[in-house]
Amino acid sequence: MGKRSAKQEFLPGTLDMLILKSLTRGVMHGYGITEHIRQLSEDVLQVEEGSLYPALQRLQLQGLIASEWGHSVNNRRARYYRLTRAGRRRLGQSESSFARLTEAIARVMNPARDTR
Amino acid sequence: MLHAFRRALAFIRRNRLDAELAEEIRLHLELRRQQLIENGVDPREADYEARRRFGNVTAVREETFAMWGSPSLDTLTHDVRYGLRMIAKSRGVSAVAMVSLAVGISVSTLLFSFANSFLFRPLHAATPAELMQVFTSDSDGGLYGGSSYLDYEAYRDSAAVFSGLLASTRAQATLSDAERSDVLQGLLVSGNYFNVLGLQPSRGRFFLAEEARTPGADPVVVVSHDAWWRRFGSDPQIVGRVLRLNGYAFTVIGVGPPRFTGTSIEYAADFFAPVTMQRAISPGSEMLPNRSARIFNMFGRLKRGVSIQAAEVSLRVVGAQLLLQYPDEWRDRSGRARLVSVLPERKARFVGAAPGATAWLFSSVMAGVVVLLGIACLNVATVLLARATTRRKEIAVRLALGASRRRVVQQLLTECALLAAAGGALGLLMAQWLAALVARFRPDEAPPFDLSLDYRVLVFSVAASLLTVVLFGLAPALQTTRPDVNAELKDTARPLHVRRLRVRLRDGLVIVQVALSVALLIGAALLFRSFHVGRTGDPGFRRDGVLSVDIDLSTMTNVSGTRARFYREAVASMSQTPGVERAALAALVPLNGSNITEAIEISEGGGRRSVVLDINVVGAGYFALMDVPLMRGREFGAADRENMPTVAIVNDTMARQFWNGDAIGHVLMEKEGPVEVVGVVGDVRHRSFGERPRPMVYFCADQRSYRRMTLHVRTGGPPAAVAREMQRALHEIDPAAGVSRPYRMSEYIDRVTMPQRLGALAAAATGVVELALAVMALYGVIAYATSQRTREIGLRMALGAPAGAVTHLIMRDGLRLTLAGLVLGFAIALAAGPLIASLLIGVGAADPVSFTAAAVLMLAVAAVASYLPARRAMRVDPSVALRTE
Repeated sequence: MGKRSAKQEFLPGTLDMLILKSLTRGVMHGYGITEHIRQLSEDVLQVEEGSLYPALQRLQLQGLIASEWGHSVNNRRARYYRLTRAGRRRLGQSESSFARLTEAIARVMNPARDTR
Repeated sequence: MLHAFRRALAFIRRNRLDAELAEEIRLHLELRRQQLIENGVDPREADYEARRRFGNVTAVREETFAMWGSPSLDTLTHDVRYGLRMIAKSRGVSAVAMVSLAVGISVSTLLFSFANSFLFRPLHAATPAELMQVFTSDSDGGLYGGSSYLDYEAYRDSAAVFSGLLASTRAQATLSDAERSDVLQGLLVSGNYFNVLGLQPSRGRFFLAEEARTPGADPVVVVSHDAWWRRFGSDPQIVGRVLRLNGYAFTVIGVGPPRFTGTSIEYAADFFAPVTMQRAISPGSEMLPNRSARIFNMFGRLKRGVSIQAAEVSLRVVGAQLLLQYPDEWRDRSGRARLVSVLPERKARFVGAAPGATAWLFSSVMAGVVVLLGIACLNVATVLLARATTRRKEIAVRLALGASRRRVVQQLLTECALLAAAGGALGLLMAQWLAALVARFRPDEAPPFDLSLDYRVLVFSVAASLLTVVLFGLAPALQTTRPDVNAELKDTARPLHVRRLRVRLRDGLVIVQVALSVALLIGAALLFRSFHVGRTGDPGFRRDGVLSVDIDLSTMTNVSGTRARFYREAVASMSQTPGVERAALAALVPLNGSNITEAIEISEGGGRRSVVLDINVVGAGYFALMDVPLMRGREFGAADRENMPTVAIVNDTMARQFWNGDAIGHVLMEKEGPVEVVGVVGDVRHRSFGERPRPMVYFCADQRSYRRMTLHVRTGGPPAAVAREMQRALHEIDPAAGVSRPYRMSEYIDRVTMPQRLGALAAAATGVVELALAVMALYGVIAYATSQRTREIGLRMALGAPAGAVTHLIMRDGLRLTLAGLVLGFAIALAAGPLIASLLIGVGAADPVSFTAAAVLMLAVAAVASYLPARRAMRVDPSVALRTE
């Protein structure tokens, strides 16, 4: 049940989007992605770290990301993920629908703007 | 698509992927721990904190693992494993289904290959698709008739649509050497025969351009590869060897390519001789210069880019010119101009001169295939259905635990597919093995066939097994997933109406199985009986102890009745030969495949009408010799001579058909004048064993002799001595007469009826297999139905019923169901009778023997099948029996 609760803190599909977005900066391993999300969100988005891995596998099966084994900075074997072309396209779609969604929520939460 | 592929790949590699994931997670935890330590957390705390932040490692791995195991593939492996377990659990039932399928598929594959080798396999020639057969309509207006050699030459020289056009006609020749004489089948062919077919000799050479031009100039012959192997023991010195064919010396110039047996699917040609040698092979008739001898088959190789229609148009132009030049020969009997048609060789096989025996053979083989596959499918279906009912409870539990109906059906189908795959694979193996067996025991005279399994056969049997599974696996699966879950689970407290329904279903299963088995058994019995009749049936004459010799007087000049005198002297001299009981002449030997028909006018109730009848010309004493009973009037005698009134004898069928049996004294109008009927004799099967007798008229040999006749003698003594004496005596009368080697009529008839008997043998063998399968399935179903009553039997025994009474009860029930099935089966068999009637020789479709045999067998099987399980059930401790189901 624990794995579920972590996801439920986000809007559905958000984790996938965050992963894809992170990978636009280049290849990363799993730990790197976690750190990237945590740092950029200034610790607001605390992913339950374990739930990242099933998501990575799912994205890989969908062909949105690809991976290969390489060596990390301190010379340990690590799996690096990168965005595929399909992943980039999907990210574009997610970003625009996410933008629409946040805008809509913002309007609901802050109706004063409409009167202007 | 790509997605599914990735999933499948992941599924296959999932153990490795899991290991990789574990490594990845280890790295993650390690990096997190280091970072925490760098941030000043206590190392032991850091380890714990890293794990806490990560969450449940096992859960992550499980979730990911499930993702790789794509659900459909995962459930498939699961279903396969489960299916194998269930098959192993019910070994007997599964074995019946598997063996039924294997036998059904293998035997029908074999039969199909057999038919296939005649009907669908391309002609053995270079680019067979270019080969066209050319027909001219026959005198009765039938489109697909033969052509005369003169017409052939006209087509060959003026039609530019073919790169080559060949002609061939059937020939038969006796090959005699020091030890023995054999009848060889052959083809008289145009010189370009092998060139047009695009074949290369495996030894020696084929005909040269100048051979086959001048009549009688080139006594050369090519033997088929098969004949070379079988008749000449693959003699390496065959080329150059001299063969005496019908007494004429031919030099072998070459051996045909392997597997080539001529352009006819009807028979295998052993030799090929130039058409110009026709008079040597069949003396007496002049086929080449005779425009009315429409006996040649023509095959042309279409030039590239020429359509079949274009070729036909071009040949019709030639035909129109021939019509102008030869208006008589180029019109059929009703005065219409003859029509030329061109058909692709493959198609032409089905339209050429209707091959009675061949068509019969194929339809019986195909009927065998259909019936056999039907039985195999029936076995599988009932077995699956029976098993599905025992598994109702299991299925109900699965449904109750939340399995979707689709899931359960899928599982049952997987099980059936496993059975089918196993049965199909076994079947193919068996087919190969059977083919090897049949090839080894192939009789010498059998028509050419090639049983190597080709892809069509493969497709056929795979389709057959798939169809079986889909049809008969799906139906029970759907049926068993339908019942009310609650009712199934509460077995003992099941409402009465449900119980009754189930009993009715079980009984219905038995009845249907019995009915179908009986119907199919009757079919098999009929085919089997017809085979038996075909071999031993009474053709209306006695062929044992008869020696025959073919006489050909066409080389003798017929001045002032030389021929008639020769025949008279021959018969007289034979009658006096020691060891000879009787001697008589005949134009036709019954059952040898040839027949003569003639249009005869018959007066009938005041009017006259012309009918086409089978005729034969026979000498005095013929009927006594052949043991054909004389029913009214008299045989031909010494008084029936050339200048006396012409007389005829008719057979019983003719007498009854036209004159209510009283034929004596009636007059037939024949082209040479009136003929009086002086006798009625018993029917003789002339065209095939067991045929329905046809009207037949016999003319007197002394009044109307042919150039070629057969002299029959009935011998009491040793045939070899009599044969020698016959040849000597005939030679003495006139050395110019063509005389064949004497042969035994029984052997000869066996040889010429080979295709028919072969087809019947195939049908009979199929019948035996069908019998075994039907009995197996019937036993299975009845035994199953009885074993279902174990609980009831236990209850009765516990309440004190004597064993005898229980046995009686169970057997009575079993037999009652069987009887109901029998009645239904008889009805089906009678209704289907007309379908099979044309395949039967000598037995009616409602043959009482076949019906009785099938019924007795069914009852016996049913009795055993209900007795054995009942006895077993009674031996079970009642307390155990009560707890079954």
